Amino acid sequence: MERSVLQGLAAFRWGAWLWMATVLTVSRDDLRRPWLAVGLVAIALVVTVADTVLLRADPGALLRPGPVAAELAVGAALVLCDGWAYGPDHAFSTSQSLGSVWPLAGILGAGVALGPLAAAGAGVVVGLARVGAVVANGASIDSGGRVLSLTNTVVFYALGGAAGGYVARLLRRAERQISAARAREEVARTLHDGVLQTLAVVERRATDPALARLAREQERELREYLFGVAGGQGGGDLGSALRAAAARYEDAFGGRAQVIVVDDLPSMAEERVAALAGAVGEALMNAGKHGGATKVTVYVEPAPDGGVFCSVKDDGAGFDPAATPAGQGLTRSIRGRMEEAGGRVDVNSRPGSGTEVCLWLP
Amino acid sequence: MAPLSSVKVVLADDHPIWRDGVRADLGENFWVVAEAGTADEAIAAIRQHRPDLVVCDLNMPGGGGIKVARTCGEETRIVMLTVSEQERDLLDAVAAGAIGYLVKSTPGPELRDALWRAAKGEPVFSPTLAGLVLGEFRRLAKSTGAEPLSDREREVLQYVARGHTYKEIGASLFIAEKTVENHVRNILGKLHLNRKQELIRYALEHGIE
Repeated sequence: MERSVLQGLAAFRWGAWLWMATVLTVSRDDLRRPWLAVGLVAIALVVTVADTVLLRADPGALLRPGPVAAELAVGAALVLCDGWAYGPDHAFSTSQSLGSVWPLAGILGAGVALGPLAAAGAGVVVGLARVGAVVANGASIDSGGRVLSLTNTVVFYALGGAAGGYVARLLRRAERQISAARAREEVARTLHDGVLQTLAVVERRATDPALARLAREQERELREYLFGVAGGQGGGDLGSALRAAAARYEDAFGGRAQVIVVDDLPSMAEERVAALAGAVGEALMNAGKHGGATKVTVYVEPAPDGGVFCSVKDDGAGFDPAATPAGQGLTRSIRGRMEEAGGRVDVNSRPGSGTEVCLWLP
Repeated sequence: MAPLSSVKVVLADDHPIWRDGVRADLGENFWVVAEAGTADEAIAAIRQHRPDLVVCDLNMPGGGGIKVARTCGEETRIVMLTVSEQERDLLDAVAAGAIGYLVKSTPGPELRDALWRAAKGEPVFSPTLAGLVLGEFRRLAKSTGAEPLSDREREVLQYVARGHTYKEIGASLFIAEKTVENHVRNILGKLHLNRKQELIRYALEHGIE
């Protein structure tokens, strides 16, 4: 990134220098001290060439304070030279002066090298050089228009530098983020093929359930680190809350709980997410405690009415709802949470085919 | 010599330890006729041995399981093995012609049972895959207005995604378990077809011959 910005700056510097040479040629008759103007344009050429050579040999040097300050000094001198090189009042005439564009390259360079604040400062210095030029010319700054014109120059250079520095900073930050993401992806790919596969082998072939459980926990944590809790799994806050509840179930009972999120879920207030995730957590605990389930599926999708439908299905023992009075321990806490949030609950179960708790939240 | 009733299997995975592990878990009802470490090797082995079942890793050198499914999905039954159900390519592999997938951490007996049923033609559908397919058809319905699934198929798909077994779905909908299986097979067929149509549409729109 840095290199391409510096290359752009070099091109800008050359364009500005050519423009300056053109101005020098066209306005040669207005010059009071042509040798001074020619000398300064020559020094600017030396700086332009030197910076170009440096860009090829050692681009990092262009970002060091020395070369930046040197270019700024030449730029300021160019602006100041207007005062001696041209006749009186030239600064306020409509004719072009020598150093209007070229010094901007130095200010932008300061922005890239030292940040927006330093570049704004450099802009102020170059702008003040123009004030010096006017004073050297013996022109008076008596009218409001002239004060405004000088202030305009200072503001122009300062803002240009600040904007340049700011953009360079943003680019740098974006570049850092991209390279960090790339590194993470690389790590993810390596771990994916190696460590995650190995953990899966352990999980599958371990005869000790505690070891299998440990491998599963590690796999889940690694996956969350690599892909983020929400990364590639979706579901927003609710999805994350449900996955957290599923992880707690796995830790507590050693079974497996998967969370299926279909489609984009509507955004929900924090307490509604908490109510639904809490109810799901209770259903999971019931599945582990009373049902003896080994596998639980938590399913969630947007309901047609704009709310959410969620189900918790286990492969446990199941029970006969007719023989179990409603509102008993098993469903009371779930029902309480859901009704408080304005939702409703339905429990389907048959002995031998597990239990499904269905939850609706409008 | 393997018993006559056994299922001919081609195992494809670039890690030999996985092939060893799966072979050990398969037991005597399966007969591993060939093993492969790349997609091309797997395709060659399938052409040569005409297996009843292919167990194929999703990520392999040279195109991986998607390439195998795309090339041989119509000749044989392919079950994908994957490390993670969140893998981006999973749906693509199934849409390309695999009849389902299994997560690599599936315990041995469950793996054997699922592969046995797959060899008999039963789609190996998990809640996660059903959820992915449901999402895919909803996306399709939203973007094109077309609704390729029948109401009953959507219902079955949602039940599978919620974690019900084919048997439980049959009991809930008062239909035979075989009918549920047929619905699932049709859903997979429609997914396959839709992907093909999408590709053709894309090719036509972009002038690719």
